[in-house]
Amino acid sequence: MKETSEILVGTKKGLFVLRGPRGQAMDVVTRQFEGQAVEYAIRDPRTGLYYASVTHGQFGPHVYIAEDPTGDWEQADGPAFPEDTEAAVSRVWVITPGLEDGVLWAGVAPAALFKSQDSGRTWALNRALWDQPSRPDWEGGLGGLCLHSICLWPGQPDRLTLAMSAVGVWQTEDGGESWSHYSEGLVPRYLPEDARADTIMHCVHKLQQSPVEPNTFYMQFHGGVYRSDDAGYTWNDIAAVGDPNGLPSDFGFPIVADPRDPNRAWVIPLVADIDRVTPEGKLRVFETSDRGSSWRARAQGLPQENAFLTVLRQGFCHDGANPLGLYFGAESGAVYGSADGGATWSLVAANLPPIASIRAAG
Amino acid sequence: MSTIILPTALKSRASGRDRVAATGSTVGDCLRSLELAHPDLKGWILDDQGRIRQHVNVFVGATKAPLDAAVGPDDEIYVLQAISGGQA
Repeated sequence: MKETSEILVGTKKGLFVLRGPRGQAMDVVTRQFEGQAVEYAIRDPRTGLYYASVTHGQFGPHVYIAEDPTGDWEQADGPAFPEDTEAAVSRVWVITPGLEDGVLWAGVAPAALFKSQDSGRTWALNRALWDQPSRPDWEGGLGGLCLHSICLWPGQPDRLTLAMSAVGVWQTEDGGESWSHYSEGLVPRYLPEDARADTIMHCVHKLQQSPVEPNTFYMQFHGGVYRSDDAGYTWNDIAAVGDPNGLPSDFGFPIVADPRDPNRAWVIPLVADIDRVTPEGKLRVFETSDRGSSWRARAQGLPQENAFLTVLRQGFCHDGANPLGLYFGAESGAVYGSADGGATWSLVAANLPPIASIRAAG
Repeated sequence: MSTIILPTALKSRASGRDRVAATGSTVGDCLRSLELAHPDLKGWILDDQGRIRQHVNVFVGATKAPLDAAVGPDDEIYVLQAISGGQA
């Protein structure tokens, strides 16, 4: 069994690298990018290279690469929009290693997809998605118009499924030459009923795919938790709010799918869009192990009194190990971890700046 | 040549210097020549489209200056972090 972990925590005031026993209190071994917002940081397991998306309050967003996250970071060239788009990247929300050697994908705001073919050193805009005829009608949520979820299809490098806020789920099967929008079953309750049928204004908060059963997707929506069994074409609401075995709320940001069990996923519900804190002052992760037919609270070790936390869309991850490790970080600056698939939790780190993202590096 | 005066946050991207000579007859010309001479500054003062970033102020002497403001060889161009930016 894997005994130790390295966790990358992107915060409003820098990148924190934590190392220590899996799912338990860890040491902060370095703080990088002091004073800057680190939106996202990952380690590419293929190469061992680290990537960080950093937004300076005045001098804008940049992507950095490092062999050692405690050492020097090299600034990448881009992502940046071509001149004819008249756009400028305001934030890099996600960086995802691709399937082919050297390929990485980045999702940015305003909502767009960039591809690197040289391990992140240079980036090129995916024009087909940028040039979608519906783009003039695209709108963002509170976090802005952004591309935050990139799902890869195992063994199919030309197939990608994306989620954007607030323009739903998009898929390509030809390497990004063309894109289709899927939304059947999603209910945007924030729109008048008569406006829901034809809209593309689908505020997906986070999308996850089962790597072992790739037709299975889990989604946290802006009011709704959904599963798709058919590659994202159609969606079924699985929140079951009000049911004794349901969720206390169907609002939240992150969702994590089990990398080995397609029936299993976790969410961290918040009260509602008008009150984005954990319900009843209890910090609870909810797990389904039956594809969303039922949910149970996983709260052992988490505070259950006066705990009003907010966990953002990139603030929850697994470590891929067996048994599965889970980690989440809150805007309160607290990081919690579990080394047993959520059965028990421990405080991993406290008093960090507000946390935007958390990813297990190893 | 004009002189560009950089804020502390950008010194490390200009070989540790906070005063850098730049060629050009406008603020834009000078900032673009600065990027060419110091590629680590690319994307920091000017955005993807070559516009001055929203939360960056550029002054020529005591006057806030847009990209097309004329500059002379004795002018000092100040690049400043606007108080509207930063992180709370």
